[in-house]
Amino acid sequence: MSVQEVMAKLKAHGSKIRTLISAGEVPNVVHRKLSKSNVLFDLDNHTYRLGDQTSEIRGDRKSSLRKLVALTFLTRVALERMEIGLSTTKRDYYYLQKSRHPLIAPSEQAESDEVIKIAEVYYSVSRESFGFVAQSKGYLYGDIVLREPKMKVNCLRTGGDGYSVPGNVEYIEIEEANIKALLAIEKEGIYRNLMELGIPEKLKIGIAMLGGQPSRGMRRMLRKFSDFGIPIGILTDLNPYSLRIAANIIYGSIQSAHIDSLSSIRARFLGLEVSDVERFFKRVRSVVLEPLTQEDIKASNDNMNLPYMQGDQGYWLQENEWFIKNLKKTELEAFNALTRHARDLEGIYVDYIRTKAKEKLGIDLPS
Amino acid sequence: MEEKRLQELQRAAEQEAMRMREANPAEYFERNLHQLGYSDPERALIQTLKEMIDNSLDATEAGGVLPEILVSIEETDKVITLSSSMGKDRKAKVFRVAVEDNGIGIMPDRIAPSFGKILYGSKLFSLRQSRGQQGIGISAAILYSQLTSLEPAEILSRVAGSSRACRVVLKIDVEKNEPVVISNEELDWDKPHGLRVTISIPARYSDRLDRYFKELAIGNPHMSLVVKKTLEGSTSELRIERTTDQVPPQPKEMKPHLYSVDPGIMQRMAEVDNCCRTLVSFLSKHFTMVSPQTARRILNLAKLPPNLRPEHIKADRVLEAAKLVKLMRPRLDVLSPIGEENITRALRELFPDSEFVASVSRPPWTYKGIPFQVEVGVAIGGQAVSEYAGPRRMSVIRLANRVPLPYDSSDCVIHRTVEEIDWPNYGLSTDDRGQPRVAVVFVGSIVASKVPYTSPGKFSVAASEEIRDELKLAFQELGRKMRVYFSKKMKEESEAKRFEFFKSYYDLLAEEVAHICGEPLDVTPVVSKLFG
Repeated sequence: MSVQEVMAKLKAHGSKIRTLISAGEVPNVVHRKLSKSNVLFDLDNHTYRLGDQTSEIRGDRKSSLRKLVALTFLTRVALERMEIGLSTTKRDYYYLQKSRHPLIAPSEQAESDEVIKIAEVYYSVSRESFGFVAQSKGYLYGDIVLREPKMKVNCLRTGGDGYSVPGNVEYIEIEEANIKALLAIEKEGIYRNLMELGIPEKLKIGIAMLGGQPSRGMRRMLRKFSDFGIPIGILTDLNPYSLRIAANIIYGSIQSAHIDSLSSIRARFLGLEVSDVERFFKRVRSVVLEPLTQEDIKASNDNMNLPYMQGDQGYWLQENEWFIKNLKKTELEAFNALTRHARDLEGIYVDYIRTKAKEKLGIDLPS
Repeated sequence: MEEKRLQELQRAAEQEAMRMREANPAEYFERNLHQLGYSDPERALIQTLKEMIDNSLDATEAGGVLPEILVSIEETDKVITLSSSMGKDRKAKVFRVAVEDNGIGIMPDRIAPSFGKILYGSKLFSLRQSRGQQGIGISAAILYSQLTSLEPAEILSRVAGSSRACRVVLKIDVEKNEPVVISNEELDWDKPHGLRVTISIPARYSDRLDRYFKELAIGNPHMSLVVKKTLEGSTSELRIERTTDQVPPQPKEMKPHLYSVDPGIMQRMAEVDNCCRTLVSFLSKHFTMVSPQTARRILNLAKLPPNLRPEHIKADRVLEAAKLVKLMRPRLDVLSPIGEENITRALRELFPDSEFVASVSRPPWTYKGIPFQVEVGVAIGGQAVSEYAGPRRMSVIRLANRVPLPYDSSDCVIHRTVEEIDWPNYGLSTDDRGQPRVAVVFVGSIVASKVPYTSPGKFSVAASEEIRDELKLAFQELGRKMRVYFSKKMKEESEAKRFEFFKSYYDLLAEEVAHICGEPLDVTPVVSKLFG
């Protein structure tokens, strides 16, 4: 959706309220209910989404009138700032709403965050669409040309660690992507090594550095590549948390169940998976496997209740059960344990990536 | 030894006997003026005016005329020193106090005894609702006057039909309880009928007096009162206009009821009775609700022959016997209450900015065979009520036979009953000190053929079970009216609050929508829809 379309959507809200009030009608806003009870995991489409329950904000109820005024205030603020190309953080908005009028002043940021979330679900767009940006995190590298509102960017020629994915990628378009796949990588070390070894160029792939749980900007970016027709492969550590990182990219999250543009359901988890231990790390098995911490154990137990565990023919369930059974984990840096000389690393990476891309994404990468 | 002791005792008794002589009421009250309200200069002024105005109101009511009362309070230069029994202030200024009315006046030959003799008057033995009832009041004021200022009293009276007025200047011979007429003359007076009494007393003016006049208006809405005050050389005037032109019906005189009469009184009535020859006729003729048959039953129970001459009555036995016979209560239509409407109107007049005014009249009832009727009222909120109620935010105006009782409220049954009611139950919420959050003035009025005062000064109404019960019922009924008001007020307030709430949010919403749409927005249509 273009900036103009989003702005039109926001303005329509003002007109709607105006029309109702002028006609002596009580203004109201209906949106899909945001509570956890209305979040469901769609097993057919493999994604979190909101159910059919709705919430109504009514102008004749004391409690919801405040929400209506706050939502309309947000709408005005968003329009004003979009007009002059000014982005807004959640914290920015907290202070804006707090200073507007005591009647709608939030007592803490969670309260104004809630208004932002209502705006997202009511307008059916991400907050980035109306300029409410997330923190920027993550990099992108590869033979890719992006079109930002003000300039074009070639992701091979950004210098540094690659193209720094901004907080708001909503209005960034992919112009060219001369890559066969895009690898979303949890850790910085392997990402940088791949760059240094020229592997993206060699294998004609793009690489993205997540830095732990991916930011909203990164998730949106990955979705854009997925929509652009680029297969997405995910590389994470082998532990109960990393499993969630992969799931977040593929299925979305409960928190953002109301925004479907943040999940990439065609993305695939390449590894590290349980079977990799025997297949790729057998020689160093005892060295690279580390014990689970108490927190890891708790996380793996909690994972059992996550709805997506039931999907993919029980794949995730099986993976997770391994943690509970073996109380072991390892991470991407373990590839270094396979090398006897620095020159060994390139081959190890290439072998692993080509093998997994073939298996999981069904593509042959050049050798 | 023993003999000497006995002689001493005998001598003492003999000396005591030599000192003994009859004390008359004038002497008694001269020594006990504080019992009648003359305990300090401030109270003395109120008490004197009260006695004089009581008489004026009774005198106009007796003639069926609308009372027009002129009061003049004039501070003179004369300062006198009071004896210590007259209160803490040793020195006080002498005030010349006059009250003039348009009542029936007093026949010339009755003026002197009416004012110069204690326990003299038309109301003494009668059972009829009237303000004065003891024959003490005005004479006590004159006693106080001559005892302190040494000035005589001056009475100007004209009876309808007589061509001239009569002016008597008198003092009281305390030893004889007789008037001493200093001068007695006829003169012209432009009033067709009425009375003016002027006396000089040491006094001190206080705001309580103005309060007294205002309270008087509640019990006497048909009265018009002009008070002219000359204090420290400057003159001011307080005017209270009547709020009704209806002269209250004259209360009816009633015979005593056997349940209310004291044995001593009955004994005396029988002794002075010279019209009846038998006890049966004495009882059935002079007491209410006693037929000859009933009288026979009573005498039978008292073991007295019905044909016994009245002077041989055994009053205590008769009254005991009467209790065993179920006597009907006396007729109740002998009273002249103020009326709910009049109380309400008077309260509105007195407290023009009060939020709420209500009153309740109970039907008449009896205590000890004496008819009485209770009326109560309330004024809530506003500046005037707040000033009147004072720092405790609650005050009780007490009226007995339409006259305010300005002093000694704590032992009065009216005051006590108000204190006993759990007012928060009726919506009058209190703060943590137990004081009402909104100022309130209650009115409690009793009219009776004979009001049971706690003392001859008529300061407080004594607690009789029947009166207390009636007062309680009246205040509870008043409380229910208050509750209706308070709950309505609360609803209105919360409705107003709700309106404010919605209005302010909609105003804010309108501003935002106006920003978005670039046009101003009027929220009146939707706000008026939400609030009808």
